[in-house]
Amino acid sequence: MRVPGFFSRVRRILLLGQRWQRLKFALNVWLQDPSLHPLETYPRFDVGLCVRTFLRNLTVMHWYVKAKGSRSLTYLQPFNGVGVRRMSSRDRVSVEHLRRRITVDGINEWDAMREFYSQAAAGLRRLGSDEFRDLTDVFDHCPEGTAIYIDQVHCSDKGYDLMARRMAEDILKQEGGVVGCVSERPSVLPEPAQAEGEYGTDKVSREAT
Amino acid sequence: MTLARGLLVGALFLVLMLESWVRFRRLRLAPLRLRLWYACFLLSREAVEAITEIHQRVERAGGRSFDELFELYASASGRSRDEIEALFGFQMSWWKLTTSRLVLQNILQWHIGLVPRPDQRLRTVSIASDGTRATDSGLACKTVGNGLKRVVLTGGSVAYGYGATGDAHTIASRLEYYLNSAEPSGARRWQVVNCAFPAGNSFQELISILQKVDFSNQPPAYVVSLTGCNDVDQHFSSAMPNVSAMLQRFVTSMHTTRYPKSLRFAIVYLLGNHPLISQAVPVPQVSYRQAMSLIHTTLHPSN
Repeated sequence: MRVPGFFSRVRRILLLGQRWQRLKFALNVWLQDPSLHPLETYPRFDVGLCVRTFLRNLTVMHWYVKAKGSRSLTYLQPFNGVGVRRMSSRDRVSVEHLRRRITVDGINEWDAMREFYSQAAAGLRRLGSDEFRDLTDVFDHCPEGTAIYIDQVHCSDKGYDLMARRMAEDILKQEGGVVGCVSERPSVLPEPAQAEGEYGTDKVSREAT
Repeated sequence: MTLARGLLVGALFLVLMLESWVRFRRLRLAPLRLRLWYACFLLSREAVEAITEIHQRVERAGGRSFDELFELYASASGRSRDEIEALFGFQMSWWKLTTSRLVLQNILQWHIGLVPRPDQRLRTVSIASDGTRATDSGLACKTVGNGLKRVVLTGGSVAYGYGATGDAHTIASRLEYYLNSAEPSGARRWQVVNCAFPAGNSFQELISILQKVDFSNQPPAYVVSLTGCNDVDQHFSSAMPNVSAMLQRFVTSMHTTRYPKSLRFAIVYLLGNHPLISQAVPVPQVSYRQAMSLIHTTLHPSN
């Protein structure tokens, strides 16, 4: 009986490993493991229609509120990756989730989102800069690597605080108030410091995917 | 006969084992303790919903475990990791996990879709009796009765404060804080009402303004809308029509068609079987026809 040599044994082990990998992959497919690419597939996406619907709804809302005697302020909410702020390592990883959602045309949701934001921002500028504002640049001044987002769009306390500050500035400007008062923080609030210089950096370590 | 019985028991055992394994696998990013409890059929439905929600957050954030998500939360909120774990985590006994209220209950509201049920209080979220998320600016100054200005904030989950570590850290609360802290007299002159709800798109915002905001009694000084992301997200994934997509399609033909009663029943039928709805409470306040005629008469009073 012929005893297999060293290389033959290694080859067999490697092949066994491949088989195991294939079995695992088949099992994951069967279980619909979301880590497989793509996550979901959708039909055609018409970004123009989406932007038109969006702007029409905002316009109707604006005129309705105005006709009722109130003032209207509409903000285009910030989104991870839009604006000049450089994404942290964590931001880049979280955006991958959107890249795995694709249409039958091969457009992923991340690209669709960016296209929508560029067209919607232009549309809002056309509608008027007083009532329709673009808030996507609200985190531009944050230092590189600062953790703001907890996923593609949601923030935690720091991000929400910055957005609220910008809104308050706009409202007070329209009211004719002193805008500089907004940044002053009275001592009655016992809560985490959120001044610009006190931001920590994104310390979440993660292997490259 | 004995063989058949044995085979049946064996098959049942196999199915149970397979189900356990699938359950164990489904919460693959959760701590081992939770995975084992779930695999052994020991968790209540609500506990599973709460764990699944955090699980989805981990996936959306591109993380690999609950711990990574909590580290990210701690970093993004300026809080310590232990605080975050106490607010969002499941470091509790099995009994407390299966008996605590951990997830928001939703109700179906006509023409809007799913909104949080009024009068709820969880670890990080409180819903007031009018269905809005509670705001807490933390200011201990005196409220000025006559000159109180109201700001209504509408939008989706970002405006609602998804991911904030408490009601005091949502955009509405912080906005109220900044507006009032700018008052030279030190009195509280601004009140911010958080009318946003998770997954709300621009059309749902419009309907919610028509339904919820009282312009007749004391009109708000400002209606602030923070929107954008949900519109594109729901347009993108409208392959499986959700409420928003159905409503959006319907509103495009709003001027030419009458409100079909069958659609109402279709939505109730679809949503009534949704696992996240524990109690469907339809609130028919304003129909589309009424809403559009209201807008029309407001904008063109001469007609």
